[in-house]
Amino acid sequence: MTVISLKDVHKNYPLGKTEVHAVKGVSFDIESGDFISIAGPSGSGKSTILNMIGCIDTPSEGIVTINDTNTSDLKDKEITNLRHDVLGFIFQNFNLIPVLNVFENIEFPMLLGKNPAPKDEREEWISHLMEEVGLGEWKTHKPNELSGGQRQRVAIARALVTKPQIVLADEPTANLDSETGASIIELMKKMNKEYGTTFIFSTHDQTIVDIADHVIQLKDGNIIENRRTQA
Amino acid sequence: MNISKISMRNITRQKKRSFLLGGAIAFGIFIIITIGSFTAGMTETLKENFTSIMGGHIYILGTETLESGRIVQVIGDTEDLERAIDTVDDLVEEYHVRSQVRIGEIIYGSKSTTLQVSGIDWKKEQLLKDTLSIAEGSLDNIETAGSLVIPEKIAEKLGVIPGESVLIRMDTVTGQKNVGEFTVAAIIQEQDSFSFISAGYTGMDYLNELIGLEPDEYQYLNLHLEDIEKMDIAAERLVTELEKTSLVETGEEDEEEGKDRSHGMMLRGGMSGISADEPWEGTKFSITTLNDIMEPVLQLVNILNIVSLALFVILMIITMVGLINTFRMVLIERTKEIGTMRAIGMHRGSIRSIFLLEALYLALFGAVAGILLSFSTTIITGLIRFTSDSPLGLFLHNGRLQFITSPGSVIKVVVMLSIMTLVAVYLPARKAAKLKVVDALRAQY
Ligand SMILES: Nc1ncnc2c1ncn2[C@@H]1O[C@H](COP(=O)(O)OP(=O)(O)OP(=O)(O)O)[C@@H](O)[C@H]1O
Ligand SMILES: [Mg+2]
Repeated sequence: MTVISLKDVHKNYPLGKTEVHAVKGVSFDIESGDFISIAGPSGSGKSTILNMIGCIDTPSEGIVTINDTNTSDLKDKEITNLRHDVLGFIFQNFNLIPVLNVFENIEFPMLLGKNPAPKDEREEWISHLMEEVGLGEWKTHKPNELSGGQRQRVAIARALVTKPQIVLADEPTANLDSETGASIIELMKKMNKEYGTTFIFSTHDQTIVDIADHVIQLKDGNIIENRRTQA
Repeated sequence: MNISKISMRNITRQKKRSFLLGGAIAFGIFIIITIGSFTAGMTETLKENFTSIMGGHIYILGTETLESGRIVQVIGDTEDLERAIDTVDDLVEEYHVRSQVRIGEIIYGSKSTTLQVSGIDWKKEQLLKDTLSIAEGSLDNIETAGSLVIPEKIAEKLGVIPGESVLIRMDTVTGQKNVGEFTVAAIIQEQDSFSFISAGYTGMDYLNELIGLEPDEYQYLNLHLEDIEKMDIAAERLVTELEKTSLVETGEEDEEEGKDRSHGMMLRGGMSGISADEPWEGTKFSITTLNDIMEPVLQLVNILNIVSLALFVILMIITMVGLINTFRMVLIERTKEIGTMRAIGMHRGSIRSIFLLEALYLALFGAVAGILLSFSTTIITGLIRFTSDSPLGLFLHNGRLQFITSPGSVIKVVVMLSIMTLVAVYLPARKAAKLKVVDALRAQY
């Protein structure tokens, strides 16, 4: 089942009097449950594409559809709800809320929804997730008391807590050493298997590309390779 | 719930900054509430003190003209007055009839000093008996003719003790000189007898004789009301009824005529013995209320309150400028965080609420600190006992400054502060809410 589809998507950024053509007519489909890598050198347009999929940016031209909804037709409120309900985000810089502890950071997206689950249900699910990402003992710690790898594990739990269909991760390992980075990718893969969540992550590190079911290689705003290894 | 938790914790992120802002707010709140409590307390003290000195809330003074044209202070024909009084009887707690020597010279041996002497009907003035606090002697035989109650200060000056005789030289209602002999029955404590004025008390019959009035005549009729709020209503009823039969002057008329005649008979008492320009028939009544007397005080209080409000507003405007700048900084410091929360699914309105709530909490913390500071200041200041001959006398309540903090005024100030805070922070809050998510996420912080 296709969850995301890009059709001839362009993105131009104004740069002084001229424009930067960051994405130059890209089309691809993403299948539910896949573990997708968007790879390419710096400046090739990975973040730009992920931002458009994540509905935090809009294409200059072309269409991005999520679950058959054209995202450019939506108002801010609807887009916000869509991000909350369907998508999860993992950032390069972890982006945890500094005033909230580990538990509260993970709980945060759950409380944003219209009908948050009851407290005991939430607690059970969050405790489970914390065990899954290996942070069972860190419940009440603040983000600044954690290592980079631990923070990214919190971010993964936070991205999964609302049971989204798709998790987007823009260079989730770029701020980690290669060993920790590999373990983060492995954790994401494990979650992908366990919950069937579609993961799309970008990286310029070729060594972690191979773990993906579907690799999209970019160069200068164009797709140079679109390969799906799994049937 | 999520939002208020984050707002609350955000305050502690820059402790020094929050502390300074909260402190500035606390200071402003402290100033306005303290001044407000002071003026309210002062007003109340003055009211109580005046009520006690004057023997009530509404003061009816009578003047008549003799055939010689001289003005005499006396309520001669009581029929008209009694009819008028019937109309307010339901509002009155006690009637006090009094005569008065405004300035008498009290002499003991070779020493003398001045004293105001009020002639009291001791049988009727229970309230006065209750409020006088006796230092020496007693009120047991106060109804004996010639018994005199004097303040401590006078007693000390003369070196007189209860049981001893003194002379008082005074003017009669017609302006003649007379001297009377009195026996000191009791000496009263200054604090409770309002030391700013040296007032002595004696039986009215005895004093009447000395100043040339019949035993059943009197100069003042003072009404002590059950409910002080009904003062103006009662005064109006009295005036309406009295005007049917007699000449009536009121404190308000003086005001309208713009004449600089002091309110009430406090000062007018000295008019005895002066010739009238135009003699009149019967008794002319002058009705003054505590409100009339309090009016200049209330005007002063109003000015003080306006000044303190202006000061508060200026202080708050300065604080609000600081608050706006702070939240502009906060906006820059937390741009990335705002982007994150928006990406995860927080709506614009919630981002705005986080900002507004944070500012509001800060303001309320400041307000609570200011209120507590004001409470402790007024309580501690209110414990200080001033000496009896302090020039503050009239403003003291049992020798102490009185502070009254009304919950209403506190609420008003807090509401004002909250509105100002929300208005001040609204723009940065809106700006935060309107940030584009991509741009916010790309920000340095
Ligand atoms: N907001 C922007 N304004 C102007 N130009 C931009 C903006 N965002 C991206 N670009 C440009 O678009 C191109 C693609 O950028 P993008 O961030 O998508 O690349 P990337 O593949 O994510 O690179 P990296 O690996 O460095 O993150 C680059 O040339 C970049 O300079
Ligand atoms: Mg990038």
